[in-house]
Amino acid sequence: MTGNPRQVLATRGLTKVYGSGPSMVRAVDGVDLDVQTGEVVSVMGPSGCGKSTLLYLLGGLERPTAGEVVLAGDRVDRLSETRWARLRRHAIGFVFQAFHLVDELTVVENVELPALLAGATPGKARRRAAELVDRVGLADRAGYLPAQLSGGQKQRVAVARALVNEPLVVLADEPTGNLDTAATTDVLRLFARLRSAGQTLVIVTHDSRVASTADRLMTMRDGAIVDHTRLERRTSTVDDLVSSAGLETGS
Amino acid sequence: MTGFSVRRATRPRLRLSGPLRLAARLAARDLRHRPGTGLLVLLALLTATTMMTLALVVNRSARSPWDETFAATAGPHVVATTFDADEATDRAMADLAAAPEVVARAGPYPLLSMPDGALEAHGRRIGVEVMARDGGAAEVDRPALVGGGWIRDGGAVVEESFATALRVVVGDRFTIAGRPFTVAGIAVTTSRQPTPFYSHGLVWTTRADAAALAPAAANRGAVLMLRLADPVGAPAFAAGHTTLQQLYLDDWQSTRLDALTDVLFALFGLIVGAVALALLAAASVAVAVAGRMASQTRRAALLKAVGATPRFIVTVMLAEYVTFALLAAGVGLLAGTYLAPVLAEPVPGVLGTAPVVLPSITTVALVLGAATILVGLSTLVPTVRAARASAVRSLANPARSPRRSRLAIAVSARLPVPLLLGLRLAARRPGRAMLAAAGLSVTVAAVVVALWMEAGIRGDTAQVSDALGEHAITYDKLRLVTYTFIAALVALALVNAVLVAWTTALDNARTSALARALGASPRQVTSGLTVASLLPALVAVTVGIPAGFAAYRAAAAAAGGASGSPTPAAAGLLALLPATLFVVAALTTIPSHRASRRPAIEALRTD
Repeated sequence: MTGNPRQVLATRGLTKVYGSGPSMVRAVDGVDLDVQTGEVVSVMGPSGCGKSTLLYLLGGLERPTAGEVVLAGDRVDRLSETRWARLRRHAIGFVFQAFHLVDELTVVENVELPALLAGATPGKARRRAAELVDRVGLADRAGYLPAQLSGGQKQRVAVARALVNEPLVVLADEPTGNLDTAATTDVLRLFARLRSAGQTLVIVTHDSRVASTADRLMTMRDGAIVDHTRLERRTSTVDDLVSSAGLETGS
Repeated sequence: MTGFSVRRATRPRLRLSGPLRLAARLAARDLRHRPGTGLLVLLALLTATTMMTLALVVNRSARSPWDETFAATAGPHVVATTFDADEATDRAMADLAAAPEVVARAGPYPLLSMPDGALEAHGRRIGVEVMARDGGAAEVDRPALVGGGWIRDGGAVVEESFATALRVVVGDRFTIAGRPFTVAGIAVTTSRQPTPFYSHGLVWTTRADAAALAPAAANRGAVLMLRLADPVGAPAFAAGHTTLQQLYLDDWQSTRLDALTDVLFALFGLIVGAVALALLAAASVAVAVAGRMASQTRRAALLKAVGATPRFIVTVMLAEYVTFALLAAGVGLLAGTYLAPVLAEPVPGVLGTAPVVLPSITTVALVLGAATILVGLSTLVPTVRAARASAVRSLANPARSPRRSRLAIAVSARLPVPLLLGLRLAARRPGRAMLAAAGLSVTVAAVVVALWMEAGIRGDTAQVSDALGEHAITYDKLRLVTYTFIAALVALALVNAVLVAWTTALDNARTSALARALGASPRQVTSGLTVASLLPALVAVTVGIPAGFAAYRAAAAAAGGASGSPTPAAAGLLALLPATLFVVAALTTIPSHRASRRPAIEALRTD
């Protein structure tokens, strides 16, 4: 698995079991996955199929019961909690369905938080955060608190936060699950731009419109990957991409 | 026919027991679901109510033995003593005895101050005062025998507290200035304070034996006992008749006060302890309530969604804590009542015992009322707030929005990660941090008072030990009170600290999990939570030590002095700072370390 220099993230036989005996649930069941640098991979499936658990296993927020996770050529599934934390700072950015912004921090303070945790100087962290806030189109709301933002704006802040340490891969868990159509469009535009910039993305979603914007689509059922499709990319611009997903382009 | 039946509107039947039963059931289920918190709250309240009961019951029962002894021995209202008898003192004593206010007298009796080491018993040598008495019963001051018989030639009667300190019993032999004596009896008197408050022990002998001892005495004096027509006016009588420098007049009120010093000092400890423990218990309950507010708010919203009125919700939420208060008050009253005799048991030197005195109705009402008010004050505001909050908002986000502290955010950005997280976590809930600081301040202040009391005991014991070795029995009770107080305080402080640590970890579970998801290591998160707890602890120590000093000074001044009492060792006080910080850090580290080992996503999922 370490031979392909373009491969950024891979799993072999990845398994997560909850409970034991009759109440045992195989949330993730022997998943093999390869994600190349700059690739956008969507994971689809019905509720409870194990797609979010898979994402948390990839990011080290859950520990696998069996199998391997390889990140940038190194096996990471056996790392300690502390080593995982250090790895996450630089290699992984998370985007959650529920945003998980810190309520009492402003937009720019939320975005700079991972940079501060990673040891960046306050000045450098703030400059990087301000730049990202500007890139996600919220420069005029940099001093706002999360409670003063719409759902779409909150998710854009969460994306900016995920990017602040320039991670190898961004893992997004139902990034549009709590958003209306207009806000979903905003987020998809952002993802399209990230894709254009070569950012590797793994997106877990139950929304086929979001899934269709990826390079590859994987379908999960009962913890296992049951379908694997490479999507033909017929569009080149961001607006085309959003439009092809059947979403409004006006916002 | 639609297949559906329509319920006819009927007049609802009023069943008063229904809501109450439901409230009780919900409270019981909640307690069963979280027994740990309930137990800690109960323990905190129980400690406070027991101490409260002790203070109230001991206050009632501790003073009676001296009064009983005074009545049984026909105690003197005024005692005139000289250690250097001459013609002038003889005349002054004769004038005193003839004063119109005097209704009865005894003496003057010869009083010999024997030099240090004059008395030898069981191989130990100490000083003693010898009072010559007559064979028959006197009109004033009839020492009451608690063992053996009255004086005879060669047979002395030893004052009970002195006998206890000497460990002599009836029939034992001892010598005074080499002259052999047998312990003919052991008796009590109220003509002077018991040993060790009176610096020398007292022995009664016949006039003949005293005369034989006189050449060896360091001082030869006399003592005259008087009873007055107006006992209350004894201090004024003594002041008005002090004509000679070498003649000391003591009124019965000051002797009584001195004899009760240990009890009063112990009582002072109990009162300070009861107040401190009540405050601590209130802080513990408030912290416990605050820690459970998110789940309680969600619960209130759910009840509201199924038709419960705000009043019913308040009843349900208060029922649990009021039950704790009533239960703690009941058990505390029982425990305090049965522990009181241990503290009120009279010291040797007075008659009687301290029986179990049932608490008065006032005591019961005070303890019940205090426990209920304590719980009410700690729970009512958050409970009403939860009951009145919007159900929809509460269900979506039950936790109250944290506070944004611009300064803490700006300052912490320049600090290492643990300090960054700690400062921000502490600043999120300033009210809770202040509550934790207040609880710890009370603990630290009370520990300072306890250390001071301990220093006082040590100082006095050392003084007395010079004469009596380690048998300063009167201080045992005081030491018992002080140590009981310290033990109760430490127990409650630990309960409080555990609750604060638990609340801090619980309240910041999501933020900590998020920090980990963003790359903070478990150690950084644990350190952050510890720093968040240490900040209020630091404030508590800074405020608590001077507050303890001030409280002790004020209480001692109110109790009539003690300005010259020994102060606790500076090292002990200085040790309070690291000790407090260490205990708080250790108690916070355990739950936060455990939380940081659990997958971060668990906390984020339950958000």
